[in-house]
Amino acid sequence: MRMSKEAGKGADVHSRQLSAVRLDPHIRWRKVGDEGVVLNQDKGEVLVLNALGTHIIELLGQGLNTGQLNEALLPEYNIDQPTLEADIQCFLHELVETGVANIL
Amino acid sequence: MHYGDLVERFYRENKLFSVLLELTYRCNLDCFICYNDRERSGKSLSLDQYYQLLQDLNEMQVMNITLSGGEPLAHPDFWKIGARGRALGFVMRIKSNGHALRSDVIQRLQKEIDPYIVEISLHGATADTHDRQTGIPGSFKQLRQNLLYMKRVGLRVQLNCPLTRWAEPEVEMMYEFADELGYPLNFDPHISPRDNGDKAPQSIAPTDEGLRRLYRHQKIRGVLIKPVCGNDKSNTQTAGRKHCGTGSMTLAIDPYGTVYPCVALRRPAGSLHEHSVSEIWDGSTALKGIRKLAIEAASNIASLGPYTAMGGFCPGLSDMLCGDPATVHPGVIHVAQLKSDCLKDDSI
Repeated sequence: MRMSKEAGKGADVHSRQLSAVRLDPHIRWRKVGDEGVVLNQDKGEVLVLNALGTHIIELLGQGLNTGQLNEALLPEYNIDQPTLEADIQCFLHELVETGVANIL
Repeated sequence: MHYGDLVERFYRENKLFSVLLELTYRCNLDCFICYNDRERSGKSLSLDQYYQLLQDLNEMQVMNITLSGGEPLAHPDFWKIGARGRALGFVMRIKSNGHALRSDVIQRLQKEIDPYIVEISLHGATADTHDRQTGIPGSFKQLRQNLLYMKRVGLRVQLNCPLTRWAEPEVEMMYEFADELGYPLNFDPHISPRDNGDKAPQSIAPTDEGLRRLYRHQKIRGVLIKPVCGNDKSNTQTAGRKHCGTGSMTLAIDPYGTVYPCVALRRPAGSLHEHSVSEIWDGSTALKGIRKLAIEAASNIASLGPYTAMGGFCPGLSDMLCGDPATVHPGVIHVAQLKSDCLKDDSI
C-alpha cells in the first residue's frame, strides 16, 4: 500500500467519497524511521507503509477527517490539490478494504 | 518494502521491535522442564517502573510486548500492565500455560488487553503425559476445556510443545489435538538447561527415535521441507548478516529488571533499577558484543551448509551448553542430520 501519483488514478474506481474514516480498534501500528508497520490483528496481516501512508495513519489516529487531512498534507507535499485529494481518497478506500479503517 | 525485508533492516540497524517481559517466576504449574531459575531473588520492578518502561518503549516505537513468566497471570499487576500496553498501542502477546485461562478470565483478557496471540504450552495429548510434566493432576483436562472456549470466542492461539521423551509417543495425537481445535502446533526439539545451569530437564530430552517419529510425521503433513538456500559455503549472501534478532531487534527483561538480549541468551545487558531501557539499548557494551556475535553465529551456521540451518540453532542455548553463543552446538548438527535423513528417505 503506497501513496504515489499513480495511486490517484485508482480513485476513479472508488466512486464514493469518504468524508471520514476511523482506524479500526484492532489494528496496531508503529513508525519505523520514515515508514510504518501496521498489523491487522483480526486478519493477522502486516502492511508496510511508505512515509506518506504512515503520516496519514498518524493523522487518522489523531481523529482528523478527510478535509482536515487534505489541509494538513497539502502544504507538506509538492502536489496539486485535486491530485492530493484523489490520492488520499484512494488510500482511504484501501485502508477500508483491508480492514485497517472503518467508514464513519 | 516487504515485511521480511523490514525485519532484515531491523537486524542490521539495531531497531528494537519486540520486548518480552518475564513478569514473575511464580507459576500455578510445576513443569519439570521449566527453564526459569525460581530460586533467583532480587528487587522486583514496581508497577510504576513497568509503566515507565512501557512509556519508554512506546517512545522507541517498539511494536510487540510479550507478557511471560513463570505464569504471567500470577503477577499481581498483570492486568494493569497488560491494559497499559494495550492503551499505548503495542501488539500484546501472552505466553501462558493456559491453566488459569478459564472462560471469565479469557473474556477479561479480550476486553482489557486484547492480545494479538496467546502462546500456550502443550506437553502431551493425554492427561497422563501432560499432567506428569506439569505436576498438577487435572491440568490437561482444564487446558482442553480452556482451549475449547478460546476457540469458541475466536482467540488466536499458538500451541508450543517442547518435545520430551515423555511426549514423543504422542506426536501424532498432539497434531490431532491441535487440528481439532484449529490451532497451529510448534515443536521445539531442544530442551534447555535451567537458567541457573541445572541440566536436569535435559534428562528427558527427546530420543533419536522420538525425533525421527516427529519428522516422519511432519514430512507426511508437508511441514518438513528442504532448505531453499543454495551453497552457503560461499557466504556471499550471509556476509555481515545476523543469525537472529537477539539484542538487535529483541530484549527480554526478568522480574528484577535485568535486561537480556532475548529470552534465551542470559547475558545481562543492564538493570532497569540503574538505567532506562533506551540508555541500555544505546549504550550497553554487552549488547554491542552480542550484535557482533550474532554476525559470527550466522557465519558459523552458514559454513556448515544449508541442511544444518534446519537444526534449530539458538545462540542462547549454545551459550549455556558451550559458553559461546556463536558456536554451533552438536545438538543442532544432530537434529539437522535427523531431519535431512528423513527428507532424503523416499519411503516416507
